[in-house]
Amino acid sequence: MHWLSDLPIRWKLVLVTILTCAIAELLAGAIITGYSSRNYAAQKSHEVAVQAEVLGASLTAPLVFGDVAAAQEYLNALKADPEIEAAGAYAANGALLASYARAGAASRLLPLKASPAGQHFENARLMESLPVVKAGNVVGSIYLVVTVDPLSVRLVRIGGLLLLAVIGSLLIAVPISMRLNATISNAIREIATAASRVTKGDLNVELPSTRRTDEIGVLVSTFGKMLASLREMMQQERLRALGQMSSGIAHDINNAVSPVALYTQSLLERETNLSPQMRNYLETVKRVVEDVTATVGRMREFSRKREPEMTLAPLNLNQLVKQVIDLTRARWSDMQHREGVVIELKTELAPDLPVVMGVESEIREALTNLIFNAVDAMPQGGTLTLSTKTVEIAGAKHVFVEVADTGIGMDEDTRRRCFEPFFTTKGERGTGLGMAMVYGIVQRHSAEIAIESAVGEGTSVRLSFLARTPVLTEPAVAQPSLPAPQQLRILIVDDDPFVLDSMRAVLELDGHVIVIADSGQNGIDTFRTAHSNGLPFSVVITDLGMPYVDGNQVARAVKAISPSTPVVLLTGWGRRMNADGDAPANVDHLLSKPPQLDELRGVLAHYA
Amino acid sequence: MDVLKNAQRVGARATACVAAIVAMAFAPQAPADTSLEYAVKAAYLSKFGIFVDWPKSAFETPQSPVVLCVAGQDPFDGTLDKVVEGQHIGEHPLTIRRMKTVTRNSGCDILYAGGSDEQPIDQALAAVNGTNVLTVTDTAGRGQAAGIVDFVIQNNRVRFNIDDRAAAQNGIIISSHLLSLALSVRPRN
Repeated sequence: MHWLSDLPIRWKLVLVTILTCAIAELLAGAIITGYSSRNYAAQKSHEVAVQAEVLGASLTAPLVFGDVAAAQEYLNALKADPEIEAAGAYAANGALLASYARAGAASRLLPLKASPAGQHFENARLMESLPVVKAGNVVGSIYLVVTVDPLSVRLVRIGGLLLLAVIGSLLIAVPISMRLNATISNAIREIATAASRVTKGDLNVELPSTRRTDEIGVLVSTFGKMLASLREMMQQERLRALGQMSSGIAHDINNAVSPVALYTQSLLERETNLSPQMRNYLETVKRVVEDVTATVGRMREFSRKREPEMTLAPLNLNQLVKQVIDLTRARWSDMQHREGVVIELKTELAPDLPVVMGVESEIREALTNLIFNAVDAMPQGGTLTLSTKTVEIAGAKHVFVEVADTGIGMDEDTRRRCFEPFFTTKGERGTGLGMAMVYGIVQRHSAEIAIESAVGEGTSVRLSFLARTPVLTEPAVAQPSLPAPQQLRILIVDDDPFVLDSMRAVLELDGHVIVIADSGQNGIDTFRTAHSNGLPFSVVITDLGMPYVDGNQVARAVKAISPSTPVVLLTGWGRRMNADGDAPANVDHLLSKPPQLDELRGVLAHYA
Repeated sequence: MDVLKNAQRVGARATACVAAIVAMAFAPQAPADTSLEYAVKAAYLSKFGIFVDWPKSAFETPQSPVVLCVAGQDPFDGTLDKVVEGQHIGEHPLTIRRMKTVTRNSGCDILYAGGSDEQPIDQALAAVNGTNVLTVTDTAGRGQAAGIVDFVIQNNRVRFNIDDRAAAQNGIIISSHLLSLALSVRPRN
């Protein structure tokens, strides 16, 4: 039955219709045949009886008076009925008075003498013998031989009719069923087409919208949902891949910016006679390092929802917008001016904007990305509009931040795909990460993002945050960064010489005694030697990711030698471990790179 | 001549007898055998009643006999008695009554007027004229006064003419079956 399963559904259904029709009509035919053959005999017998009766009545006088000519005349009239094969009129004494036989009828159909009254079937013939009675006198009898159609002939006749009926009903039923089937098979074919496009990797298949509620409707809408969740999964998968990849990059960047962070903080702390401008520069450097750290941290965590330790703070988006304008001025003002292109900046900031809860660096990052995109979209210049406003939706206050440009705009495909990691319209210049990052940030803030765009007219991207009544928290009193009063003997283990140097420099300024080791093994050796020489370290600070012997092994070795010595693990892998709360065994503190001086000092003060 | 032998072996049973005579009647070369001729006529005579409707008033009860009168000369030589024996017309038994002369009150339903010196055929017919009687004569087309049914011989066969107008005058109805067998029918008006 291979051919059956390979048959298109449309034809299967037509086949079903044909078979149903045929079976129904065969059944009807069988019933009709059975019924009519049951009735046929009775009907025929009745007919013949009536014919004999009529014939007898007309033959009465000829029979009584033995009028052969008259009798013959009546009998000959029977040739009008082709079913009558033979007829005989018998006188009262049983002698054959007159007879008739149809042309070509078998001879000897009539008995020579009158036979007893009655009917019987014989060889597809019905014989009737009927006495003729007049005024109470039996004056003779009639013998009729009538052809009876054999069953086979009747079957053929009914079969022919049936065939006609089947053909007729199929002529009606098949086009109707084809039409009905189209409603099933067309929808299935559309889904199949969509599915094959999905197989080829095109997830942006649009299914024909349907309001059907039957199984096909359910299939279409389920398929649509499946596509949507597939798109979602692909997005997640890309983010995860990106996260894994960027994790390694993050480690390196965190290591790289560690000295910058440490030196900048140290300079700002120690150099009291810096000119305000220089101080401003350093502050900017510090902020940028913070942003870089935050960016790198987020890069690894695309796939993760809100980080548990991400602390939301009340933010004024108006202030943030102004900061971002300053940060990006070079991009939209200076650089563009140089190329003779003018980008006009407009800000429409709503006064009395409610605060929103968020992470400042993240939202700054998101807005920066949006501004870069807007500028890139206006190679011929245009107007960049940054606006904020308060909108009430369903009884809840929302704060909108909108970045709008009058640039080239996006087509529908671009608009749909712009959040996909690595999707870029900027060719080599773009990373395809900007909008993905924005999307991640928006997700983490439980905010919403809406894009309106028309090709040639521009794009506006709106972020919508839920407004919050600010919780008045005690403003953290800036801890005067006092150098630790006590000197500690500290072993720093790290495979990155710049990190080692900067750490040593900064901590030495605080008055600690620093010993450095540039690998895990060296660190363990140094610690053991010092311990046995009676010059034990008060604290060991070790990097986590090092070749051959990593931070965990260093920590285990240190604890083996001196269980009471605190071990601080510095990691360039970001905040992840802190977040998961899985500080490894043998580690007393976990700090992420680039190290924050205040944080470091706090930890060290703890062991002083 | 099986048929002839058959005829000579006329059985006791009237029906068998009639049939044999009838069979005789269409023998192709019927000989001028008067006894056979009268046997046929007797059989006919016994059967005419079957095709006649008398008014109800003609009989006292449905079981009253139909009286077949033979007035004057009786040419049947006993064959008539044989064929009539046990015959019924419907519920009425058929009986024979012989008489020299016939009158209105003879109680006849069928009258065979054989004619006699005392009462020639025409007088006999006149005697029952207007009463419910089927009159039968055997003039053989000799131009004498004929009854309602009048035997003739044609092609050596016994046939008859019917005077339906006379039947109407006598208040009886002759079945069309019988009329259809007659050589000629004088119609009612």
